[in-house]
Amino acid sequence: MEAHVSQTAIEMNAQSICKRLHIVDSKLLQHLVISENGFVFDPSTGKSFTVNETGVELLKLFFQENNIEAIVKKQHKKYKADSREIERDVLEFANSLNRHFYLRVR
Amino acid sequence: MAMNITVAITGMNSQPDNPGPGMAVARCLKESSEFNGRIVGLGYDALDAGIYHNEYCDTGYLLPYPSSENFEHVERLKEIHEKEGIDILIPCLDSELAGMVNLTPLFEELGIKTYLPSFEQLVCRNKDRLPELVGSGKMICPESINISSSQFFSGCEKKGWDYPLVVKGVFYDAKIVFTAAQGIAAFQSIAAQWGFPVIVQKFVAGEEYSVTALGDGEGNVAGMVMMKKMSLTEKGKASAGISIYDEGLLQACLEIIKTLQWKGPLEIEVMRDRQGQYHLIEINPRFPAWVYLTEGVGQNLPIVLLKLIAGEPVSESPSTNAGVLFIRHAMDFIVPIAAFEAVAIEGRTR
Repeated sequence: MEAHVSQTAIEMNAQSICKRLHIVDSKLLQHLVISENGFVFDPSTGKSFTVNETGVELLKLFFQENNIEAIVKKQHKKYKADSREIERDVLEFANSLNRHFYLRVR
Repeated sequence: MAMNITVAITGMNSQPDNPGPGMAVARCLKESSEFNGRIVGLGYDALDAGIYHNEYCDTGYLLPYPSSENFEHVERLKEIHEKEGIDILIPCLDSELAGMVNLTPLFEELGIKTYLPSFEQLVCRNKDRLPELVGSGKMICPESINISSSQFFSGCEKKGWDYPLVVKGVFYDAKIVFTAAQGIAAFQSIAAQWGFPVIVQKFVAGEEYSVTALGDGEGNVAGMVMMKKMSLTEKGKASAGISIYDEGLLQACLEIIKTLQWKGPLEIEVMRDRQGQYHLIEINPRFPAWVYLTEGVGQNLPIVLLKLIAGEPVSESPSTNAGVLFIRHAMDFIVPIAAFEAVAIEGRTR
């Protein structure tokens, strides 16, 4: 399971992400417009990017759930993949959302 | 109600990297079902593309440059008015606004209507007055200083002016400089083209946004469209953008327009930093070159302007239509030599 964001300007720092990010503030994501084919648009900043199928799935999960542990559990249950790997992917994706949309991800 | 009037519009220059707003304003009017009048394009150079564009300008004339003696400008406008019977004049260039504002009594005498700010309002939005304008309001403003010598750039860091800095002309142009040598070169080029003072502004990193609106002169707006710049030309002009709606930006712009009691069209240029704070970069006293986007989002601001001038009730709320793009492109326009000759010799299209 790897959520993919098309723009490559995102630099990851897994350690700092793990320290920083525990919860995605789903309220801040609510205004994003997401099409089924993965085009994501923020009407208040004009920013947009595309995500793959897994990205769309994760975004929908972020809308409903603001606890990363709970999201990881759900994804683990669904994909039977290694929890640490899922956690890393989810955190990376959350961080890329933060960078693209200036979201304050807690 | 269809508007069967003659509207004269300036700013018909259309270089791809920095087009004037005139042709876009004319296009907004001509493509509206509410307008069935005539457009008189007013250019300053025989190569101003807009005056040849029959689709948008029914006729075109050359004016003497604004830096020429004022009386030449006035005589030429009077002459054009005698031929064309101008009902409304929409100036679209920063550099001519002060002169046009001063001529407002004459325009009234001639029966030409305008919708312009006062001279005081114009001065209040000068680049060096912006920090004072924003005060302790919702927007903040990067510090700026007027300079008249390139010596400023040697050792400016010691006075708290760290590179990068933005060097700006009094009316147009802005260059980001990273070293003293670049600063001096930018200063010389801008001073040679736009004169003094040259303005140096502290650099703000972030995303560029632009807002165009119409002020009614009493602190209210009669329409507003917000846009994020998606692509810039080498001159820093938006060559592509997308409409947005952001409540924070809206409130910050409403506050500025209210403070200025602005009358007429304007463009507010801002930077949004990573914390989401908006920084006021400049306020232009006219429609922007991207004004056709206002038609694209369903709020044709040049048409709203004509309604305001006609005294019609206008109740346009700021546009919430986000996600509409404009992408500017350059196109070659074929002009027969006879048309160019007429402009070069007689100062008007045939």
